[in-house]
Amino acid sequence: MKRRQLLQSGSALGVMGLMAGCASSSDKGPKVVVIGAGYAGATAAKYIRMWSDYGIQVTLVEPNPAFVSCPLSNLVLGGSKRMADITSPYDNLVRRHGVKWVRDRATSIDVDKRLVQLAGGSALPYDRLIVSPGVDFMTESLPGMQQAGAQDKVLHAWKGGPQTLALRQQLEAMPDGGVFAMSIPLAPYRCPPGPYERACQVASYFKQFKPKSKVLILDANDDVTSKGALFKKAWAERYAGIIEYRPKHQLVDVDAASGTLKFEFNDDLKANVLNVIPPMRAGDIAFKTGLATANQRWCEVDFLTFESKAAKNVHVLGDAIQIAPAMPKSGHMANQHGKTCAAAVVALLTGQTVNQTPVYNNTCYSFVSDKEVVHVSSVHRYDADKKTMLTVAGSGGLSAAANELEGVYALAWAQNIWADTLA
Amino acid sequence: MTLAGTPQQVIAQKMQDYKAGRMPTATIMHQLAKGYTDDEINTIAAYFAAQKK
Repeated sequence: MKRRQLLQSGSALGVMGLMAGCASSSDKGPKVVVIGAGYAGATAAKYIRMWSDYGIQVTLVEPNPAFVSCPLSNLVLGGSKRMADITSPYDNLVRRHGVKWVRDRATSIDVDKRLVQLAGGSALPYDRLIVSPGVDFMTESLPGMQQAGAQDKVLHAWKGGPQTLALRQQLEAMPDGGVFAMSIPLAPYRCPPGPYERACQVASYFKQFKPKSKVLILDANDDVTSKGALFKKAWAERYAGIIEYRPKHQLVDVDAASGTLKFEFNDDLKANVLNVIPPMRAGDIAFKTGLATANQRWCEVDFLTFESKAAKNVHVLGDAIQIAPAMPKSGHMANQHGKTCAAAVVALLTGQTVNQTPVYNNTCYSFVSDKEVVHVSSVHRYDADKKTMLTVAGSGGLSAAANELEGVYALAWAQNIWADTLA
Repeated sequence: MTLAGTPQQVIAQKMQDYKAGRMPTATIMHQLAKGYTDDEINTIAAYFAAQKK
């Protein structure tokens, strides 16, 4: 902690001197490898360095050139933010914290030999491994999505990145009077309120620039899965005649060429722009390593350490885990996983006691227009008897109504959590 | 306004006000404060008080 403050306030020369010290000392000491530099992995990498007083070596495996936030990415679809606004560099993890960033993709994990194989050919040994791969999509459940080009035309845009921008361009190219149809999978999926926020953002864009256009929400769930009353109020008051919500629409196939969605029990539906958010599971590397033991989808962990229940010395974080009751798959929650795991990993590698009473919270803001926001919050505490995280009775809750003040807070939340994760 | 360097008692008192519902303009902090024990609130406040402005 002190060292970090020194680094932040140090002169350029002082920083360089210290970093040289950092780098040389980091060739000794226990080795941690982190796969994936999203909200969970990047946070864990930074905090293991800080909380081990820079004594534990951390190698971060991440192929992407920069961090692109999934939270706020719907605002790019709405047009009030651009990709640059939701993109942050990884430089500080390297320069300030001495994390070794390997721009490569992990292709396999040998849990017996404790080796991570990289696409580039080399292998990284570890004492402890943190797998933070986010989600990947179960497109095998939608046969038409296997057709050549289908996944380039019908986008999920459910990872902040190139598809975010590509979906925005599809919306821009759509003629006024067109229909945007979004399919939502059965819960659990990444970011429960995300699809409903997206509907608001697309409708906000249509209302201003393409007022004859429609947003159709085709939800596999029985009802809105998060902030339901608040979203429905926003749809009725702000987007009447634009947004139409249809629950119990289980998608079974997609014909990308004709722009058709096919459902289990409902009529086929054609639209100008399709946005299929497929069912999802733990990211491929976790799945392939056999860590996804819950329904072959999510990775079960010990909530004191985030160590996998399927592999020793391997920890899993973020959206990839089998959640505790009422624990959302969110960026904020992933950041909290990262810190809880970092503290546990430092304790385990330095012979200290692991904290037996972790407590953390979730805050999730959704923009119902370009300025107004609704939130859901919760506090989660470890229950020693049930061996899981439970929400604290009486804590947490929702916004009373959409409001602009929380729009300001939501943008401040983003700046703060990006700094906490990356700076 | 930053929390860094704000005295521990000031932060802890404010969190207790949120927790007890004495902050009528609260948006979210009253909901979060209710999840933490008094000891945890004091620890959080001490952490922020110790940070350099």
